[in-house]
Amino acid sequence: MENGTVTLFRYNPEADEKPYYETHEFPFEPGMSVLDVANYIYEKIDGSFSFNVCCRNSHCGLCGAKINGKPGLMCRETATRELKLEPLDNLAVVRDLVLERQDYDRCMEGLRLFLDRVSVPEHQPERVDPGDHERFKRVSRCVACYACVSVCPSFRKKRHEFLGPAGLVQLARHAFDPRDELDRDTVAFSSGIFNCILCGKCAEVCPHGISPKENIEVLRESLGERAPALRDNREDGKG
Amino acid sequence: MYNFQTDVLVVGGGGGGAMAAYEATRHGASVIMAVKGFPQHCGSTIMAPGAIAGVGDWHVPGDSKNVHFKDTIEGGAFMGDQNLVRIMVEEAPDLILELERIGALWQRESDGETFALRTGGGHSYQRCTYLEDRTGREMLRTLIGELTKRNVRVLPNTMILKLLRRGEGISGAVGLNLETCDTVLFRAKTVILACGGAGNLYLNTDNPTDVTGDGYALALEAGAELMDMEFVQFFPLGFCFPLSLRGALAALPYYIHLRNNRGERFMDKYDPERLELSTRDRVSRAILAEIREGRGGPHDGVFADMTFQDPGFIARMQPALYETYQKIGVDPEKDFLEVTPTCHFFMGGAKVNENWESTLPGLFMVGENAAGIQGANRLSQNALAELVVSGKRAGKGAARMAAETPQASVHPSEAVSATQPAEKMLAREDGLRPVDLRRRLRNLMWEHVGVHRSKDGLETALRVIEELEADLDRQSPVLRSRRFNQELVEGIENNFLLTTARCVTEAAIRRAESRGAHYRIDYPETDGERWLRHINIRKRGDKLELGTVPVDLREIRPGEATV
Repeated sequence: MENGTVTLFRYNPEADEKPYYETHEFPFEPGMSVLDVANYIYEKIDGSFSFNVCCRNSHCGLCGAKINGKPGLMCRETATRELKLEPLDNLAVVRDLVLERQDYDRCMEGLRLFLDRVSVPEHQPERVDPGDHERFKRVSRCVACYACVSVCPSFRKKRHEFLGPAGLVQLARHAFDPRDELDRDTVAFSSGIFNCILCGKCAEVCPHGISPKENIEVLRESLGERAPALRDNREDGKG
Repeated sequence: MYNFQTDVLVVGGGGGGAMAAYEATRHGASVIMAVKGFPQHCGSTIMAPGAIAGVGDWHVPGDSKNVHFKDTIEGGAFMGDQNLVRIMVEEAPDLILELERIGALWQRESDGETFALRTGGGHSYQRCTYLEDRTGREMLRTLIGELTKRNVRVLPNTMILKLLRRGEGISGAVGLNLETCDTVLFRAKTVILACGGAGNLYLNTDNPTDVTGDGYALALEAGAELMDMEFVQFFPLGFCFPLSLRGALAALPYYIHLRNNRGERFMDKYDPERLELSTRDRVSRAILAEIREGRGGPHDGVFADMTFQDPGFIARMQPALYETYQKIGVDPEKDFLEVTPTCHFFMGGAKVNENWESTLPGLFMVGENAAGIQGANRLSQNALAELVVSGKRAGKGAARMAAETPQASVHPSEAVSATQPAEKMLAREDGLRPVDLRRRLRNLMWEHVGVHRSKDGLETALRVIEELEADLDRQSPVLRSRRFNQELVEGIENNFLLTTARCVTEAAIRRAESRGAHYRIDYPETDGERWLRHINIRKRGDKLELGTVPVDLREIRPGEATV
């Protein structure tokens, strides 16, 4: 078995002045996962190397990292012989690859991410338009790994004025739920949805094939007549 | 030290815990939920790809709650508690609808109104509602949303170390805030444990890494009785490779032929009629027999052959798995995939009554933490049904009890003594790494307390368990940080795992027969004369005390025609 080489981002803010990189060899086998490499380092080389993991199979969304520069879930990506692992961008680092997830979780606290309605269904199961259901299902696949947040240029520049792609996908689930009666459009607007520049980088990195960008466009459209006027007003105000 | 006071403390952030918390709030109780990891990012529920079994008004012709009852009891080899199973089949359908009322949307037929239904091994009819391949996540998302709406305090990264007793009942719990390693003291009138199973006892498991028997150990240590701990289910077809995926569900029995390293379709020796569609326990045993006799593959598995399927079939029928095959360099139309049995589910747990209250008053147990529903073997799709029904019953029971119970007093020194072992572990130099102890335990259990069991093997296991128990106090992490120290967490979890390991092993020695998922090489037959009995376990001092009680056979008995 030939060895591979992994370059790791290391940073323990309790001990280190600044991040640094270190390189280790690992027994490389074609088809092995990136998580195999991380586990090998943790188990055999250095027990202080820190990363999050739970389900090992794409569901929990915790093992996100920049793998050779590209965000992905370590459990899902195949290791290359030359490998580089870094934490996802745009979120603070707790240690090594572990992120301050709760910084972003907090952004979503005011979104009322539950079915909000006055009506009571007359009978069940309620009829749901298959197209609506499909749209609802697609955004519901999000596991909140925050890969999209990590590549979002608008979030990087305006994190206090823009909720970012992951939060808007969570919001979209309820906006797309045909039973929901809350005015989600207004929430989308005040979450800064027009700060999205529609670059589509988010869609390239989603491990579950969701395009936050497309869903943001749908949310924008549903603001309909209200949105352009509001947007123009704001631009006028700036100008 | 953090301090909390609550009527109901829910431990665990999966579907069972969330359902219990939700229901308790509906009955006027104050509720706090302590979750070991990040809510919706930990535990087994989010991984559940299956469906929820329940026969509602929407059932297919011929199906009924009685048939669901019978399927469950027979699937569980008559070890299921018939009173509890009856409650499950009666109440699950309403909860499937209730979950929709608060936010879930299950799969529908093209009319947008009729539930799409699935079947699964052991079910006589299609009767299980689902959403894509992530029914569990949908369920949990719905319930956590409802808890948000109800302003329930959910404490993430809070690991419970010990339950507190006062007199005959419960007075609270002590936990560790994993973000800071600060002590968290809960004064609580009732506690609901919803910590999931203990798949990480075994080398191969499809459970997430944080499912480590916490609930069984906490309940047993507090004085509650466990039951049916010898019944551990193994699914025959887990991945062998890559290692990080080892044990994860790799293939479905109806799409494959199993072959050994000589290319022989070996199931025709073990079950010539049903072949790969034989029961999960038989297929698992056959695979391990082939490996033991030298006919396994390079990664200690056997081969799943899908090459006989039409081109495109596998990609169409299981797109997510097909993608994984490609990533690991297996083309199912040309190559064989190596597979191995894997630990899937714990049928045993705390002995509970109709409110899912354990034998310790004020301590409730839900989902995989409770025994009784699944008997000696679980049917697919019955886990989510059990989880919602037990959560609902426990939440209501705990809230009602809390309304009539004053808070028992708790002295803060109880918290200090409970966190001592963790503090010592952090301070210890030159010890044993928790990950190494864990590996030894998982190999041991796989070898001797897994799919095949024998008196000799089990007794060997017990001796090694004793050694490993002594090693618990030698554990020390390389990382000394008090911030999200994963090694420390693993070290504490090893305590829970070893307690669970001892329970499973001692019960497996006692049960001198084979039944459901429990297979004894030295007692290969099912003994209906002597062993229609549960093995229950209590802790007395440092020892386990095992006893037996007859199974509840109030509705049907083995061999009787019914329904």
